[in-house]
Amino acid sequence: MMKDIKIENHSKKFYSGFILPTSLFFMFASAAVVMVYYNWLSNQLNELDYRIAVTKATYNAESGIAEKAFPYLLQSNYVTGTVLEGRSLDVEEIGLKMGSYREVTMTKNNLYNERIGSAIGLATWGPNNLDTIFRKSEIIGSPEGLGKYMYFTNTERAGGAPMTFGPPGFINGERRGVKFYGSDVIDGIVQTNDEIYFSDTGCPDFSEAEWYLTPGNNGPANGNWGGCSGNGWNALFSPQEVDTSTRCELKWPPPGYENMKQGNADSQLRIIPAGIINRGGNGAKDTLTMTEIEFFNTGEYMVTQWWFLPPPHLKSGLSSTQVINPYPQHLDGFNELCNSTPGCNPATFNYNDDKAAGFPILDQICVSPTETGDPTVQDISIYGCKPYLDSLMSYHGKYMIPNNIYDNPQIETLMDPFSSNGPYFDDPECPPGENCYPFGPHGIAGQHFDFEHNIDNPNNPNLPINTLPYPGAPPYIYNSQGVIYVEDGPVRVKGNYKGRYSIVTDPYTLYRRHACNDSILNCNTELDTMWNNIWIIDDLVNADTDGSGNMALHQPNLETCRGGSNNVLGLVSGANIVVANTPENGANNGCPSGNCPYPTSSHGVRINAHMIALNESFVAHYWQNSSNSIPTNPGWVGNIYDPYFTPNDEFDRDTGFPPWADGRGRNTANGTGGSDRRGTILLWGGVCQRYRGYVQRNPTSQYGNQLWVGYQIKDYNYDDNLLCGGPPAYPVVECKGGNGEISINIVSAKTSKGLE
Amino acid sequence: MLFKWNFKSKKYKISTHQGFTLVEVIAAVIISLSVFWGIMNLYVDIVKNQVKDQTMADIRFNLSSAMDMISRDVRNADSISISTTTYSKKIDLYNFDRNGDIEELHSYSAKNDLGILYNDEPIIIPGRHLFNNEGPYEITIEDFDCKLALNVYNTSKRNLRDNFFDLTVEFKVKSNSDNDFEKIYTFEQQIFALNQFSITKSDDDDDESQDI
Repeated sequence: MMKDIKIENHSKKFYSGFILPTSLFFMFASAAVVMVYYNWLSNQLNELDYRIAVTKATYNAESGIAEKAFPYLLQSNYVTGTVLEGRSLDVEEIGLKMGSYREVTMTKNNLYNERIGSAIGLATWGPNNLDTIFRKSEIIGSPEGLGKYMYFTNTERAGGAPMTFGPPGFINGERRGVKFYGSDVIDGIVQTNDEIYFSDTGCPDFSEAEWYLTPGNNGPANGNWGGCSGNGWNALFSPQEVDTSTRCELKWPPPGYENMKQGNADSQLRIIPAGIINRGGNGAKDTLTMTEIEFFNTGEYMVTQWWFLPPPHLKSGLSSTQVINPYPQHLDGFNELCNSTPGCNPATFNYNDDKAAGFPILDQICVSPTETGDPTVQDISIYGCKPYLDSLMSYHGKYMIPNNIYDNPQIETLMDPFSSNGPYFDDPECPPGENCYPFGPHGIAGQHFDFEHNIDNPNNPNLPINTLPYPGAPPYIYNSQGVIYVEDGPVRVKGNYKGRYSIVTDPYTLYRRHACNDSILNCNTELDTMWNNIWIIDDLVNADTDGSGNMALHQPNLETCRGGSNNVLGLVSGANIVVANTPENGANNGCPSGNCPYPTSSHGVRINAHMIALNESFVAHYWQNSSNSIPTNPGWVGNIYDPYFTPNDEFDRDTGFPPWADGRGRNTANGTGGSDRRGTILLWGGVCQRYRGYVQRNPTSQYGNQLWVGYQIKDYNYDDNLLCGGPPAYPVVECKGGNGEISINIVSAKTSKGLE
Repeated sequence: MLFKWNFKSKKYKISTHQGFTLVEVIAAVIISLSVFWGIMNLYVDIVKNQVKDQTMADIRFNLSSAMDMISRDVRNADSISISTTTYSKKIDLYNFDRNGDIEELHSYSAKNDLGILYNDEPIIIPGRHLFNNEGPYEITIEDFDCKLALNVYNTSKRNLRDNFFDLTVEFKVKSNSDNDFEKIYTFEQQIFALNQFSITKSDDDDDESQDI
C-alpha cells in the first residue's frame, strides 16, 4: 500500500510536468478563442443594435412628420412657421422601446411656395441604452395653387367694366353672359364654378386644354353647343381626344389671399404702404397714393409713388376755411369753364358780387336753386356745378338728379341704372342686405390709372411733381424677391422681371371726397371708393424671353419640373387687373390690323404672368377709349338722363362718355372714329377671375355703337412653369364647402443624420 | 493509463521505479501524440470555423452596410437611373437644385475583385479589406443587379412600378487552402425610392378622365 502510494506520488510528479502545462495551454487557448468569439459576437450584436436603432430613429422621425407636420401641410389657411411638441413612441404594454420624436417644425419658403415640415427621431442603443441615435426627416410640399389654371371663373357672367348689366337681352341689373366663340384658343386647365356658354359664331379650340367639369355641369350651358353643334365634344377638342375630368367647385375667394399679406419671418414679404396720406381731423380731406412698379432684367425692381386727388377735388392753394366750406369758384376746373363763359374772369371773379347780381355768371356754370324748383336756397352749391358733376360722372359713374342737388345732396344716382352699387354679395365685412360702403358701380367708378403726376416727364417739366410729402419717399430700388404687397392702394406695373414675385393689392380703399362742403354734408364720411386695381401699363414679361414675351422655349419638363424658367410672376388684385389704355399697349387705335405685338411693334401687349382678379375681372381698359361713335343700343334709348344741359355740350354721350366710358385719360385726345383697336394680348400664364372680363367690345355687343374697342386677338398660352412651384405664396385651390384641407405636391421627402 | 500502470506494477513490482521500457515509452508517446493531434485538429477546426464564420459575418456586414447605404441614397434621390457597365449594373442617383441643374450625382456599381463601388471607388466601410484576397479566402462579387421589382401584374400604378427596386448582390467565397471549398451567397433587398416617388406627379388623375 505504501509502495502504491509512493508510486502514485512519483507518477504525480512525473505527470505534473506534462499534463499541467498542456491543460493550461488548452485552457487559456480555449478561453482566448471563446473570448475572441464573444468579443466578436458582442461587436456583431452592437452593430446590429446600432442598425436597429438607426432604423427606429428614422421611423420615429417619419412618425413625427406624419402625426404632427402633415396636417399643417394640408391646411388651406396655413400662415406661418410653428414648432410642435414631440412624443414618446414606446409601447409599454409589450415592452417595446421605440424611442421618440421631437422638434417637429413647420416653416414656409414662400419664394418657392413651399411648406417644410421636419422632425427629429431618437432611438437609444448600446449598453444600458446610454447612446442615442438621431435621424432628421424632412418633407417639403407645395400646395396646389390657383396657378395651375389657365382659365378659371367663379361665374361666366360679365364683369370688370361698364355696360356689363342687362338690358337688353338680360333682365334689369342682371350681369350679361359671356360666351366662348370661334377665335378662342385655350390650352391648359379650364374650369368655372358656373356653366360655359358657346357662341354660334364658330367653335373654340380646346384641343390643348383639359376641361374640368363640375358636378351637375357635365357640358355646355343648357346643352347648347353653339358653333360646336353637330359633334359637340369632338368638335371642341378636335383634332385631339376629348380631355375632361370632374372636379369640385372651387372656394372663392380662394384661401391664401389674406395670408399673402401677412408678414412674418419666413414670408419673403415686402409691404409697400400705398394708402391715404394726410388724413387729419375734421375738415381734412384725403389724398391717395399711386404706386408704380417697374421690373428690370437685372433682378431689381423700382417702386415709384406719387400722391393724387381723385376728382371731384378743389383747387390748390385754398385756405382751410375754403377747403372745409368751398364755393363753386374753389372747384378744380372752374377756371377753365370760367374762361369760356362770357363775362367771367377767374382772376377777378367774386362770388358775392355774382350773388348780388343774381348769379349771371354761375348760372352758366352751375345748376341754380331756381332751376331745381327750390328758390329758397340762397347760395349756389358746388354739388350743382359742372366741374363737380362732370367728375362725379366720369370718375364715379354717378350723377345728381337736379331736385336732389339742394334738397338731398347726399343722394347720388348711378349713370348705369342697372349696374350694381352695393357690396359684393359675399364680402365678409358686409353682411347681405346691408349697404356697407359707398361703392360706385363695379367696373367704372374711379377706375383710372393716369392721374397727373409728372414724375420724369421731360416734355413738361414745369408741371408740379406729386412726390410724397415726407423725407425719404420713393423711388426705391429693391432686389429682393417674394411677395410685394401694395397696401391699400392701386398699382401700375411693367417691365422685364427676373426672379420670383407676386404682387397683391387690397380690394378697395374708402376715402373722403376732396370737393365736399362740410356745411352741407358730413365730409368726415368716406363717400368714395378707390378700387385697388393692378394696371398693366406696358409689356410685363419674363426676362428670359429677352423682351419678346414668348415663353415657348422656356417650358419645363413637367414630369420632373427641370428646365424651363426660374422666373415667375403672379398678380393678385383685390379688385380688377386692367390692361391700361396706354400708347405702349396700343391706345388710340394703335393696332388696327390685329397682329401686334408681333414682331417688333410696340403696340399690343405682352404679359407673362398668372393673374387673379378677386373681385371683378381681367379686362381691357376699353371704357377709356379714343372713339367718338354714337351709341345706338336700343336698350338705352330714353334711359339716359341728361338733365342739365343743352345738346352738343360736353355731357352729350358717345362712347367716350359715361356710362359707356369715362371720357377721361391722358392719351385719349385724338378721336379715332368707330374703332379703337389695340392689337394682340400675348399671354403666357393664366387667368382666374370672379367675373369674366371683356377684352374687346364689338359692334354687335350691347355697347351698341358700331364700335370695335379693345384687343382683337387673344394669344393665350399656359405657362407650364406655373406648375413647378408657382408664384410666391400664391392662393390655393380648395373645394367649395371643403374642410379646410388642400392638395399638396410633394417636392422632397428625405432623411438625414439629424443632430449627429 | 491507470490500467496500464496497474498492469506494470503487478509484473515488475521491484523494478517499478527504475524506468520504462522502450515499448512503454513509445506507446505512451504515440498515445499522447494521438490525443494531442486529435485535440489540436479539433482546435484548428474550431479556429478555422471561427475565422470562416467571422469572415462570412464580416462580408455579410460589409455588404449589408453597403446595401443600407444604397438603400438610403436611393430613398433620398431625386432621380434614379440604372445602366449596365462591363462588370455590373450601375445605379446613378441624382439630386437637383431648383434650376434643375445637377447638384449631386452618386453612383453605385461593383467590380468582382473590389467589391461594391461608390463613385467608382471601394466603399470605405468595415470589411473592405476582405476583397484584398490576402486572407484565407478569396472573395469576389459575382453579381450586382438592380431592377424594377413590380410589373403591371402587381400594380396598375406606374408611380409604384417605377420606384420599387430589387437589389441583388451575389458573392463567391473560395478558400485559398481548400480547393474544394467554394460557396456562393446571395443578398437581396427591396428598396423603395421614397423621394422620387413623392415628387413624381401621381398618375391617379388619369383614372378620372372620361372620353366621350
